[in-house]
Amino acid sequence: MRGARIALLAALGAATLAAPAQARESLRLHASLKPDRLDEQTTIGFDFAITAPGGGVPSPLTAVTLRYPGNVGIVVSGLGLDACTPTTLQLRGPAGCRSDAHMGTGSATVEIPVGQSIVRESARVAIVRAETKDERFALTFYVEGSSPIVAHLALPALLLDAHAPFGGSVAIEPPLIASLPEAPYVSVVRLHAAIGPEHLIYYRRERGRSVAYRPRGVRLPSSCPRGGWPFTAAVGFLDGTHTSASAKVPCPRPAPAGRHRRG
Amino acid sequence: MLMAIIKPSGGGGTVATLLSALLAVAGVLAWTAPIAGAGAPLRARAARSVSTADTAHLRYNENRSSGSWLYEEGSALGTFPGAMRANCNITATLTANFTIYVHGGSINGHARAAVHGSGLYQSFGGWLVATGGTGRYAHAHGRGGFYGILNRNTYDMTVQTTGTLLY
Repeated sequence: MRGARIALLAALGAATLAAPAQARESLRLHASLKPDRLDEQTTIGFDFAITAPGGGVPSPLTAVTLRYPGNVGIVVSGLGLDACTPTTLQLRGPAGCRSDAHMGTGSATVEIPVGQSIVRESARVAIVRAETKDERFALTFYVEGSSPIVAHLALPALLLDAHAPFGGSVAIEPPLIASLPEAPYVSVVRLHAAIGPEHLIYYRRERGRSVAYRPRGVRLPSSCPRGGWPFTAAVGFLDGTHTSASAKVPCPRPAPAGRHRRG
Repeated sequence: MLMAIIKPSGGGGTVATLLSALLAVAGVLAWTAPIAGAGAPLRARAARSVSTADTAHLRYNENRSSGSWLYEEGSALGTFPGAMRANCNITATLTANFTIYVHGGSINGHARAAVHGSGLYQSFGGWLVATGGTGRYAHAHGRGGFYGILNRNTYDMTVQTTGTLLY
């Protein structure tokens, strides 16, 4: 009996140490750089979609890691000059944050299985700078759904290092989202996020007056890696499985001679 | 604006003072020692050990910067006053290669720091390693602290370094 128990524990230990299983869900990633001109400011766009076999609802997400190309400067983008506290977000939403804390926008689609049917909801996403966590540049993806269910959700994220050819990663930690009583957790099936100055206006004080300006944006380096700018997305699911996808943004055509550098 | 603090490396008190004096004497002595197996004698010199504290005010050079790499240049004051250039890659962490042009040569090295703060001014703290140089600092090496502040709007930096340099 004791031997059998030890064997069972050993088997469980081995299972724990084994690499996570490949998910049955499939992941599709699209990435964009707007504009995609070397040595200039840009907005990075990520768009990933998850589908489950047979048109079912995917397992809820527990981790999302979006890797972006090397030498791309999110931290030196001039975005997120202020931080928005969790309390402000909770009480007033992203509109309560200072404009200088906003770093981007996006949208999300979630699915909730209710009985035999699937309720699908679209939500707006605001990406705001959060206070540094564990000595890391922190962000919050604030999701605001209004119909059919009013739901506000803060997804914490950290900017982490990544091995070449990537320059870093945005690691999002989605919490499990309860839906209706007895119903499974909400599943995120699509997330579009754009980090950059598009749609953003900041303010600075000049001679005692508040002056509006558009923040710089994410800087592209002066050369493009062979084959294009690499991006990947890796997601983990509640059932312990994981999957990943990659995408490349083609290198831009060389700018005409005599063109002015960074604006 | 800039502080120069030269202290004996190691502990304090009489022992440290004595050690400092011995190092200073050793530092100016040069000797010739035959090396076993070598045909010609090798000229050697005892390394100097100096505790350093420097502050540099660096300005962003847009024309030499690219993507997440910020090229910074300015002047350093303190133990090793001179011109300083640093190429800093700022991602989730800050890594930098730097050169300080001082009297009698230059000192090269690299640094790595964690980035703190959430506002316009981002502070960073970590370590640096001196890996060589030119002139009288050709064999410079040492370790130390690397701290500073980055203005995320202008990308100008103030950098403070402390540590021990052997050369």
